[in-house]
Amino acid sequence: MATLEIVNVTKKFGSVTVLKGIDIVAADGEFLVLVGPSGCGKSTLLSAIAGLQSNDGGEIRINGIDVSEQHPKDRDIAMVFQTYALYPNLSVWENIAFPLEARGISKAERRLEAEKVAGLLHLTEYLDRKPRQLSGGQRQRVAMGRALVRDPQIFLFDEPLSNLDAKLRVVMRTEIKKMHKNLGTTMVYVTHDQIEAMTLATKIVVLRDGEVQQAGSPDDVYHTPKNKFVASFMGSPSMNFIKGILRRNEVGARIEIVRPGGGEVALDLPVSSNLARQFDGKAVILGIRPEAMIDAKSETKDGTYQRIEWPLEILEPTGADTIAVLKSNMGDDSEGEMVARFSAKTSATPGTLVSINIDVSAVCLFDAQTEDAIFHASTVGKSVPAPILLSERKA
Amino acid sequence: MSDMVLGKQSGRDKLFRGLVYVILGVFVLFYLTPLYVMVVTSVKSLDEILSGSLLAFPKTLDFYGWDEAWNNACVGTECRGMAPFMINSLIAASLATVIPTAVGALNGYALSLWRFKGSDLLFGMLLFGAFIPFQIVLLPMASFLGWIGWSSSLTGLTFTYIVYGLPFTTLYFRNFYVSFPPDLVKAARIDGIGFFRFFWRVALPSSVPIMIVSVIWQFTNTWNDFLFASTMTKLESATVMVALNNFVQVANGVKRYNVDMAAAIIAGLPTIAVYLIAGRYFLRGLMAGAVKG
Repeated sequence: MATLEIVNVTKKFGSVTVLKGIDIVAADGEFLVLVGPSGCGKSTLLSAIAGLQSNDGGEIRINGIDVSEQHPKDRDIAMVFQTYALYPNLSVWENIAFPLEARGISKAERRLEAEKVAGLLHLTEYLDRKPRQLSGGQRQRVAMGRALVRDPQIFLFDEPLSNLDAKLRVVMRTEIKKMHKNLGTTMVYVTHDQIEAMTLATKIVVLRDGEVQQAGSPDDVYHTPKNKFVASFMGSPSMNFIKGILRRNEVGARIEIVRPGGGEVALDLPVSSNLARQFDGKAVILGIRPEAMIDAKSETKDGTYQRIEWPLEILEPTGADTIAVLKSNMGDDSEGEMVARFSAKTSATPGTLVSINIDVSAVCLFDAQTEDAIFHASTVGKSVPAPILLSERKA
Repeated sequence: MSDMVLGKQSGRDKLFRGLVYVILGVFVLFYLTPLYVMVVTSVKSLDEILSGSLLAFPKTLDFYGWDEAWNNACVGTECRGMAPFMINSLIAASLATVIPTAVGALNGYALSLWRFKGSDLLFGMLLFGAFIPFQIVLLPMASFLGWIGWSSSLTGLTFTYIVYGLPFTTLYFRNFYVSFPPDLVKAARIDGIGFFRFFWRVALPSSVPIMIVSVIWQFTNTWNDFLFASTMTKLESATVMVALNNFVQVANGVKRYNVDMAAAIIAGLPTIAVYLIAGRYFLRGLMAGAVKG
């Protein structure tokens, strides 16, 4: 049971600043997930919390006390490593109970504790085996057992699932979530997998280049991303971006979009009049989640959809539905692809223009210069329904 | 690997393969012939040695040479056999094996897994010790031993072996532990497992292969050493290698080849034993770290 506060933490390796003043607060019982692309500083931050690396500046407070200068063993934390870090010559039960050995607990008692933990993790029949005789998932559970047996104030997880195969990853993810639910202990979890972040976290911290991009609940981060980076990083397939020019009009604003391969389309957005005035005539980027782009034949329950025609490249059937890969107008950079979710029985023909319904109540707008979010349609609220308008203009 | 699928072999492949075996066979003969000559000569009578061919098989087995060598071999005027010198060698070589291996393991462990400021410099300096030719340190070492009162004694010789073994054993263990997963040490630090507990419970039990390498290296090197042993010992503290030289040198009159050969074989037996017992781990140890097993 502990709160964790990270206050203006910095870390340098030589001339490279890896952490540029990180501020994070985790309440007691929080499941905090640090997520970001490789090299964003998430693992360095975890090492600093664990005390495996010192922080150059700032404070790491556990229950309000700065532990920056404390030895890892005095911080009352347990850590699960990506490599499991099991001691190869010790049996499973010795691995689990090894932390207790250092505390001078008798062998009989250690065995008892190990058995108790092993029961929780379905490891009872493997207690006397060596780690190399176990499968990846079992090793992972032993590593978790070693953390559990200590009953620490905070659990740290360093990409614990990335060495497992896809199926097992999902199973273990659920087990970790159950573990958190049962124990209620504060947990800090590092991953580069945004799905793990979304499913596990009570609070997600998105990091990039040693800076916090956004911290909030999975819902916040997914639906109201603070900038284009967060929007593109969270979600799979990731958010689609379309560039256009914003024009003020009677309902708020209209975004005019030049289609790849010629032609122009437009969407009306319920933005505030202030914003519309501010960005009138300026370049903006429209962000639309794939699930908010559906084929014209799919059912559109409420009146928040607007239809455009857009060039379709290929269709990728996944069974439940069909992923439609559309041409992008963002240029040749890495986001040069757009993805929409079509129904499984779609009759769309690749290589032609297809009709797409866009849910404008779920789009975001980003300033094309700063890439900061300027508008989240989901925050407008259901009380202000967007007008149903077929606002396409053929070229 | 032996059940690797090779596919159909052409005549040329078979020819080359055969050629390889022939070359290997020649080398085997080349290396084994001296041993064969030694063994055969040691069980021949002196008459037979002088009259017959070097390579011929003995007509009758005669263990006179072995008996003489073990029980009556002379150094100077004393003819006490080889046993006392074997014991000297055994004491020196055993201590010079056990102590540097143990200390080297601890050194290598500290220098690789628990690095501290200046640990790389310290390791570099220690490594330097491994590359100094022994001839250079012979005189300073001898005068140092004289200064602390250990000159011309087995104690002094053993001390020298231990000191000059340490850079090598440290190097072995350090390079072995360097490929140890660093996460293990991190996990130990977080779990409050200390330096010695980790060494004793995890690092040392995992390092059997390199321990074997260290043991074989130290034992054979110190057992076979002649340079230090001949300089730093006197008659009663001589090791078997020094004594062997004396047996062979002092013989007057007819050269008793069978005695000399038997003595040489006896002197070499312990190292052969060490190789036979630990040899298969030796190769494995040398390979350790090259491929993750």
